[in-house]
Amino acid sequence: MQLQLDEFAKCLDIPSNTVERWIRQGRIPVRKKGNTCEFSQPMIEKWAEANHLKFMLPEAQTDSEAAAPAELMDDLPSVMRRGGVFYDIEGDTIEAVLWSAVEKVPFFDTPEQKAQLYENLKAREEMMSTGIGKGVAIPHPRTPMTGSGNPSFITTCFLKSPINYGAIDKKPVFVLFLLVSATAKLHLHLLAQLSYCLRDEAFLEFLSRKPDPAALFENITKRAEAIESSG
Amino acid sequence: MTRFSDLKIWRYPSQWILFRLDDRLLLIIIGALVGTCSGLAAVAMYQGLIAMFAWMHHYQGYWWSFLLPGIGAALAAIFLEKILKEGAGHGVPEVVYSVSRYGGLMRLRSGFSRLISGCLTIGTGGSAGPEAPVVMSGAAIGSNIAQYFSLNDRQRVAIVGCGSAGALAAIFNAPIAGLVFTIEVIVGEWSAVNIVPIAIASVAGAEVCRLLQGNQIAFTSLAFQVDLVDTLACVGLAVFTAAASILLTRTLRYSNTVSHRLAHKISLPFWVRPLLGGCAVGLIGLCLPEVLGEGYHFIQDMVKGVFSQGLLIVFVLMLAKIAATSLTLGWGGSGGIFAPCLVIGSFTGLVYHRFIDLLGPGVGWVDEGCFALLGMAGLISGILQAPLTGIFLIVEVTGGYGVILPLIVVSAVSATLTHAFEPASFYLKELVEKGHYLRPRTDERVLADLTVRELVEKDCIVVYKNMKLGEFVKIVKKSHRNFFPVEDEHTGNFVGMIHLDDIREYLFDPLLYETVFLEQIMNTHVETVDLDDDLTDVLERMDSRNLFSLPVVANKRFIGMISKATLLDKYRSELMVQSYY
Repeated sequence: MQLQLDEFAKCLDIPSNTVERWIRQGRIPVRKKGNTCEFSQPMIEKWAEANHLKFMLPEAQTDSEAAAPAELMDDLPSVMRRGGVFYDIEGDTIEAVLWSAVEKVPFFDTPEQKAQLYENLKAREEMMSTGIGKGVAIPHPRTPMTGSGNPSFITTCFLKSPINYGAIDKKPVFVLFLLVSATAKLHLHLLAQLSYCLRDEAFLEFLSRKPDPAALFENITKRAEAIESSG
Repeated sequence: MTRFSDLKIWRYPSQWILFRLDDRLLLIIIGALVGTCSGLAAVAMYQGLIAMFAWMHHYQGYWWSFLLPGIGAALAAIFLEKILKEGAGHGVPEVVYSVSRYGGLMRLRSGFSRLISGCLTIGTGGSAGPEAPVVMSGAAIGSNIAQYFSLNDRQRVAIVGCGSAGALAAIFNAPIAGLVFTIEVIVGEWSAVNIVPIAIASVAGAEVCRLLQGNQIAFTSLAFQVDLVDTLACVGLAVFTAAASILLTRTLRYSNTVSHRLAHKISLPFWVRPLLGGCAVGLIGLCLPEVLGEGYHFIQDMVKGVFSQGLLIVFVLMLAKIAATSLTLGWGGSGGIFAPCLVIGSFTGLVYHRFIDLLGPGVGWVDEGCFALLGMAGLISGILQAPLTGIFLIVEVTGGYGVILPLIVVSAVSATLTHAFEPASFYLKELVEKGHYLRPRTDERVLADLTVRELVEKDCIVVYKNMKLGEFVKIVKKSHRNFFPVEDEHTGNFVGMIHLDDIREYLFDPLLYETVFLEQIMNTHVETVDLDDDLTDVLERMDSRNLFSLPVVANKRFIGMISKATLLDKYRSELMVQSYY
């Protein structure tokens, strides 16, 4: 079969000037006519395997690339949409509120899984409160819950009545963002984006009005775009 | 255009279906062709020399005949320099150089240049041999045939080897020596892909020689009766031959430097140097005619045991031959080292035999011809540092398989001892010093093949010298590298480098964000690499300064970074790819 030199080099993931030299030196079973490489696919695959290289035709490559975006989007708005928004969460203590919130979470379907998530959240709160002040708390598991098969999500829970959450500024908490992320890296990323939004007084004021999901997501999307563009 | 190239399909045999899957058969066929051609070249050189000797015979015996070697060597130099515009040289180092550096690319004119210049030098009495010239011719013929058939570098190197093997096989009527010499000295790689075509070429070359000149053995020897005591005595002979090898190597180099320095100091025309050297050889030849020419006639006498001179005279002859060879080759004459080695070797063997005969007259030593023969092997092995070539060449040119045991001892010991004093053989000394001696699958080879161009990584984010630290911090967030090249935003020139480690403490100080410009914190004394730099140098610079990566800058423009980590990655795959065939 035939390929252009640079396409062929891409298949091997080797710089094209290296491939060109290998052909000239006769180190690779390929013939070059002008800028076209002529080779037999089984031979080149055998050669690549013997040399610990990978030979992938461009079609196969685009397939695997196309498969990647089909996976779950993990930007802040999508993750919040996935988690859902719930109002009038009951409870007077941190434990009670957390349990009510865990029950609303759209993932962790079996009671055992729910219990495990709850224990994990509670363990984190026992270390230090996740109340970051100004009436907001971001409860999250002490260790990232990888391997549970669940995607990353943030469940937004507006409390029925503000409770004392042991926050740094001692203010009662009225909203929880229950954050569960699939990887540690994503956890840091989501936390950074969320806290960037929460630094803005206007957003806090917007939250205190307990907006409906559509308005909340619209606001978040706008802010996430602003973060992206500012870098 | 396609029609045109279709017509020439016979020039691209590597594309024929027969040879597509495996080129071994193709190499064997072309190797046989090349072996035949280089065999013809060797026979031509041999016949040319015979004709020259016959012609020159009339002029011997006059008082001015000492000028003849000088005139011959000068003519050879003029022929090479002015008519063919090729540098002088022995031939073999040029072939090794071309194989090392250019995948065996050689010029067509090299196919006959050394034949003619060699005939001029040796035919007039210069102390040199016809082997290196024919090896170079054969190699050049092979290279040009390979180029004609558009073979790639790997195949061409094998075909160049075929040429040299065919030539050497033909000039000595010694096919195994041709094969072994080529593998040991020229190609430097014992792999089946090379050995098979080279062996076939050796056969073809030897066959041409036998068809045209008859199957004659160069120096017929008697059947020697070698005892254990003789084999043990050979160790002593090996010491002698090693000493002679070292002496010859050093005098050759010494006379070469002296002649160059002299020619440089009084700015002589280039042809005066060989003229003077040749005349000096001629003067020695007036007293000791044994040193002139290739000297095969005397070898024959010595091997037969009919060379009657005493110990002292033979010793003087040995030294005189070393001097004559140095004066011929070191002063710019054209020719090979093989034949002088054989002559000096047999003199050495004879000296040693007379010497031990003096020490232990009662011991029934083997005939002196045997020691002459062993001396030749010792000197060839010592000078070329190619023990196998010494062994097989002597076995074949003397037809004396009976002496194989002491032959192996002498060759091995002599090569080892010489190596201890002269780590690089006479042929390769200069190449090794200039870093042009690249054997397959060695560190030098891999580093010589990889280029900076192939290793440069271009995923660096470029920053500008008038950028504020605050803007820079945002860029740092996006980058996954620790190095940031700084450019002048107007000229685009590379002005310096920022390494995160150097400025880490300032990165978290927002007070500085608006007040510090990158120009003030960048490192301007940066070691840079050019695209055409040699990787060996680049690595040495990295090592000496303890750096792991360097910026590549060409024409003041930043191109990318080169790092040791990538180098290791590519180095490994290069090494693997090179070892595949």
